[in-house]
Amino acid sequence: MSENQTKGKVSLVGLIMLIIAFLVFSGIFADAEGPLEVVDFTNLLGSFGKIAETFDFRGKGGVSARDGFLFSLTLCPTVMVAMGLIQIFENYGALTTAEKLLTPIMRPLLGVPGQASLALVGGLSSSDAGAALTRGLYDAGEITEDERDIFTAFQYSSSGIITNYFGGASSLFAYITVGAGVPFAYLFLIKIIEANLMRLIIKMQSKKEAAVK
Amino acid sequence: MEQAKETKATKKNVFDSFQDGTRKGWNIFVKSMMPSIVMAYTFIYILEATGLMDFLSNLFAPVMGIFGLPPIAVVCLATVFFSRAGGCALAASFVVDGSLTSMQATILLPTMFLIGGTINQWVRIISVCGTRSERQMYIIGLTWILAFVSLWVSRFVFAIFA
Repeated sequence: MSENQTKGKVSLVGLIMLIIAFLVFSGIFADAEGPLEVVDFTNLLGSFGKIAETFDFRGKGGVSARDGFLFSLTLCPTVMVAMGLIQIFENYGALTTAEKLLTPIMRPLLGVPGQASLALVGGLSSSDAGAALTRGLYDAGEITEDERDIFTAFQYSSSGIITNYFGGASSLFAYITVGAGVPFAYLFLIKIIEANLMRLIIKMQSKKEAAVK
Repeated sequence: MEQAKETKATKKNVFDSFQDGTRKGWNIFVKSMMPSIVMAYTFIYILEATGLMDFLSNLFAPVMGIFGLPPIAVVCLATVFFSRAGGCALAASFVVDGSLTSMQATILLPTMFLIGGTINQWVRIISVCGTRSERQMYIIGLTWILAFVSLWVSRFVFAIFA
């Protein structure tokens, strides 16, 4: 995580950035008329010009490696713009704000203490950072073994989701039926579900072990 | 590299931040996306030219049919093992050439994302966190179960937002 993020409190700018991030990737303004249309990822991405009024520079009828090469070029701006926007949201404290907002609900949501919110947010941009921070929490005695394993399940599912999703999956953004933010929110929900299923398994196991004793 | 310079700067404006991000995006594109797409396209060409694609399609048609997906979806699911970016890009190209509908690609997206990186993230996350091996199986098992349950569930979820 970058060092320039303000620590301690929810910043107004961060909150605004978080909201803008939500709006841009939700696709809400995809068909908006007037200036609001710029608050949408697909519109920001724009379009390629046409050759002979039909095809973009990829042409038609290409095969194998050469066709794949040209096709990949059509996706390059997508990943660049997506990462560019994410970087702005990060630099202006959207993630720090999310971290502060998450702290009080960590226990009910995932069954781990509030201190883990930093590891959660760190793990959104980098799966390695998330794993290292989780390990650090356990080594420092701030979370128990059970809590660590529940949290590991959360980290593992759709790991490094912000970077991997807005980087890796961005090629599909123009071709899916929903705004780019919708599958993101869906995957985030699955992360929470997976952690809670893990929580349930661990709970049942410890009950069984207690019964055996 | 440039990263040291980046972290030293105290506050970057919107324009610099955007450019920093696009640079990261370029690296993802050059290092991950483009190689996996070129690899996938070449591989598909080999499968098609040798007739193996028809064979595989027939083989996987019943399984993919359960989820309302064409057999070619298997190629996307197989590619994400090597690269999430490659699998997603391949799905995008299948939408372009009409092999997949937009809705099918949307349904596939979360599943590709969940099963992609199963192996390398296992090492990088679960091992680093220090989970004991018996519980590692639960975590991976849960991810796969959710990934395939998602093939059914996601169509209803995404239909709401379409």
